[in-house]
Amino acid sequence: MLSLTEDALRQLAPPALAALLRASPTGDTARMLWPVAAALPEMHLPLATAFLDAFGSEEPVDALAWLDAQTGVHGSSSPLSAWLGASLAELAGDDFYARSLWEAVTDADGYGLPGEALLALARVQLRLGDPSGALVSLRDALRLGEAEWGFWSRSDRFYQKLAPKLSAPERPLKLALLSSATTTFYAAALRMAAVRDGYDPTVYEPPFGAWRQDILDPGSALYAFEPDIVILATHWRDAHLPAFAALEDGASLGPLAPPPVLDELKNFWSLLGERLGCPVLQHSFDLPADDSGGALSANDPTGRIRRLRELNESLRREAPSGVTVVDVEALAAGSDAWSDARQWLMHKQHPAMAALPRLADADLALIRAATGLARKVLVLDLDNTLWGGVIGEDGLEGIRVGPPHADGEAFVMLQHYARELKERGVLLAVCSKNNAADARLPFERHESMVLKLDDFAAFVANWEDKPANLIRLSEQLGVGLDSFVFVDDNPVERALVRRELPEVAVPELGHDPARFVETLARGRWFEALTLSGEDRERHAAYQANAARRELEAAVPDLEAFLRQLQMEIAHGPITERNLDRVAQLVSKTNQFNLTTRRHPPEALRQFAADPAGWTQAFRLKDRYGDNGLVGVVIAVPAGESAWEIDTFLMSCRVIGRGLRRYMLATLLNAARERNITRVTGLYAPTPKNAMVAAMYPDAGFTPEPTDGGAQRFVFDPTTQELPVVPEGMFEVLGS
Amino acid sequence: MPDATPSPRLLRLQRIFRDVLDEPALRLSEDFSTADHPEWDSVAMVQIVLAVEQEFGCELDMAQVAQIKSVADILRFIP
Repeated sequence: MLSLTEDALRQLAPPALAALLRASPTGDTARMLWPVAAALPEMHLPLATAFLDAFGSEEPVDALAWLDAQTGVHGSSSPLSAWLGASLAELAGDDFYARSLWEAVTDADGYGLPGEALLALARVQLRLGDPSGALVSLRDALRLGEAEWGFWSRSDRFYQKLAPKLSAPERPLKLALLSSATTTFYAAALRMAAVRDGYDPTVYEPPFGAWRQDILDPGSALYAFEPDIVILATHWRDAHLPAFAALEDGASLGPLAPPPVLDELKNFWSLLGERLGCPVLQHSFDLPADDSGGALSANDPTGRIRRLRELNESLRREAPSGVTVVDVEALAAGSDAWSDARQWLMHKQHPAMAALPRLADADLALIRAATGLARKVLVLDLDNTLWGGVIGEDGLEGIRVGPPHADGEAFVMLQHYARELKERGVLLAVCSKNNAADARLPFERHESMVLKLDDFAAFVANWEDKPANLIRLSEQLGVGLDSFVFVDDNPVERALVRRELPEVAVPELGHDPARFVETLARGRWFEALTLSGEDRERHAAYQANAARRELEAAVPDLEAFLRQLQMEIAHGPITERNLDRVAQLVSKTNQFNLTTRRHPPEALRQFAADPAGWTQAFRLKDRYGDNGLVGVVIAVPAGESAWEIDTFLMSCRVIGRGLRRYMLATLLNAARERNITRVTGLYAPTPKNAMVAAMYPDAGFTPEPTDGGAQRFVFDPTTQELPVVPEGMFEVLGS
Repeated sequence: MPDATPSPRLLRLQRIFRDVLDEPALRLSEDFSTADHPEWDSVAMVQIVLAVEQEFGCELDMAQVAQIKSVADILRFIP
C-alpha cells in the first residue's frame, strides 16, 4: 500500500515514528524502523516505550541480544538504544546488566530525562540489595527530575518499599498532616519533597474526617506520634462561608465578625503548643476558583472571597510565635491547575494533584528553616550569569547589562533579586573564573550594574576550579558549604560542583536569563520564619569581620587584638523582647552549639519562666559594628542544687572573640550565687560541632562516664575556681 | 500468531502496571483484578487511571472510573 524508503522515514519526527509503531506494533516493524530511530540525536520517551511495547510479544532476552548486535553494527550506543537496552535488560531479569546500563544513561544526564533514569536505577539498585545506593539515586532523581505529580507518586511508592530496608535514618522527620480533605496524596508529595531535601520522613495522617478530634483528644494517635512539625492544611471549604453573609434587619454594613473557624484554629494552635510545642505550619485559605458571586464576591464586604482574604490576614495577625502561616492563596494564584472538580468529587482531593509538588515545596522550605537547613549564602558566577558576555574578552563596552538589550535587562533583574536577598540577611559571594581585575571592572565602572563590590561578603575570581574556590569561600565566611546556593549558567561547572560538593545546592539554571530569577525563586532556598534586626544588619557584620581580619593580621597578639576591638557586652534572661532572635539562633546554629537542640519558641518561654532554671542571651558590639544577639545559654534544674546546661551556643560570626569564656563565667557565677553545687555540661557530637568538643574540659569540667548519648562534664562552682575574663576585655552594659 | 499473544493494548497496560506497581516481571491478563491484587490499592488506581489517560490521550468519565474493578474494565473504556 505504502512504501516508505529509509530516506523518507528519516524525515519523520519522533512522534510520527511512534505512531507508525503503534499502528503496527510488532518486532518486525521495530526492526525496520530501528536504524532511523537509533540515529536520532535525542531521547524521546514515547518512542522508546513504543519500541518496548513492539518487542513486548517477544522474549526480552532475544530482543536484547538483537539490540546489542545492532549497537555493535553501529559502533556506539545512541540515546534511544541505551535507554531501550536498559529497559529490556530489566525485563529480561538481568539486573546486574540493567544496573550498568542505567548507570551509563544517568551519567549522560538521562539524555534529558534525569529523573526517570535515576528512578529506574534506584529500583534496580534496591532489587540488587543496595538500599543506601538506591536512596542516593532517589534523592538525585527528585532533585534533577521534574517536580511533577505522576513522577512523585511513582517515586513515593518506591520509597515505601525502600524505607523499611534502610538502616538508621540520618535525619528523621516526623510530619503530622491534618486536613479535612484526603491526605493520602499530599502525604506522598510531602514525603518526596522531604526525601529530596535530605530528610528521612514519616507522615502521620489522621483517619479521614477526624483531624479535629485528633487535636482535641489528648490521648489521640496524633500526640502518640510526637511529630516534629504539624501541618494544618486547611482550604476554603473549611471556612464554611456563604456566598454573601446574611445581614440582620436594619444592620449597617460595618466590619463583619470573623467566621468561627478563626477561633477554632486559635484554640487548636494553643492545644498543639501546650501538648507538642513543635512548629505548626498553618495553610492560609485558598480562594474558590468558580465563585458564584463573581467580582462581587471580592468587592462586597459580605462576599465570600473578601471575607476569606480578611480571614487570612487575621490568621497572620493572631498567629503566635511557633505558628507560621503558609501563603497558599499566593501559591494558588500562581498555579494554572490549582482546582480540579473531578478529583474533589471522586477522591475528596483538594488542591488538584498537579498542584501538590509546589505546595509541598512551600511547606518543606519552611520546614528547612525551622530545622536549621535553610541556606544562607548565594554564590554567583559573573560572565553570562550577572551580565551577558565575557568581560575578559568583550570588555566593559561589550558586555550586556541593562537597557537597551532585553537580555541585559534580564541580568539586571537577577541583580535586583540578589540585592533584595542581601537586604534581608542572605550573604552574597562571587565565584568566577576570571582575572581578578577584569572581574571587578563592571562593578566599579559599568553604570547599569545594580550590584556593587560592597554588596558582596566575599569575592573570589581566579582560574582555579570552582569546587576549590567554594571551599575557600566557606572558610572565609565561616559558613558551611551546606548553606551555599551556587548559581552558574555553565552546565559543566554545575555538574562539577554537584559531583564534588553534593552538599551545595545547585539550581538547574537553564540557558535563558529571563528565567534565572524564576528558577532561583522556585527553589525557595532562603525561607525564614522571622525577620530580625540582625538579618537586616548581617551583611554589614560579615563585612566588618573582613575588616577585623585585616586588623588581626596587623596585631600579632590575640589579646591585644581583642582589646583594640573595644567590645561591649549586654546580656540578660530570655524575654518576649528577644525571643524571636533567640528562637532563630536555636533553630539555625550548627557549629558552635554544644547540644544542637532545636527548641520551639514555646519551649524557650517555658525555660525562661522556670524559677529553678537560668537563661541568658548575650549581645556583642565592637568598634566595627553591632553584632546583635549572638549567644544563648539555657540551664535547667536537674535535682537538688544541680543544673544541666541544656543549650550553650554562639553565632559563628563572633567565634574567637573571648565571648565563650565570658558566657561560661557568667553562667558559673550565677550558679555560685544560687548555691548550685553541680553544673552538668553536655556535648552531643554532630558532623558540624567538633569545634566545641573540648569546651567543658578546657574550662575545668570533669568528664563523667555515660552510657551512650551526649558526653557529660561536671563542675562545682561553689568549690572550683571559675574561669576568669581578662580585666578590661569587655565593657559590660545593661541587659 | 498463536492466540496466547497478548493484544497490543494489553501490552501497553502491562507496561503501565509494571511501572506503577514497580514489578518489572508482572504478567498482566484481562482478569487481573483489584480483588485478587491488594497492591492495586486506591492510590495505585488513581496513578493507573492518570497514566492510562496520558498514554491513550483520553479522559475517562467519573462513572467509568468508579466501575473499574479489573483490567478488562479498563480495556472496555479506552478508545
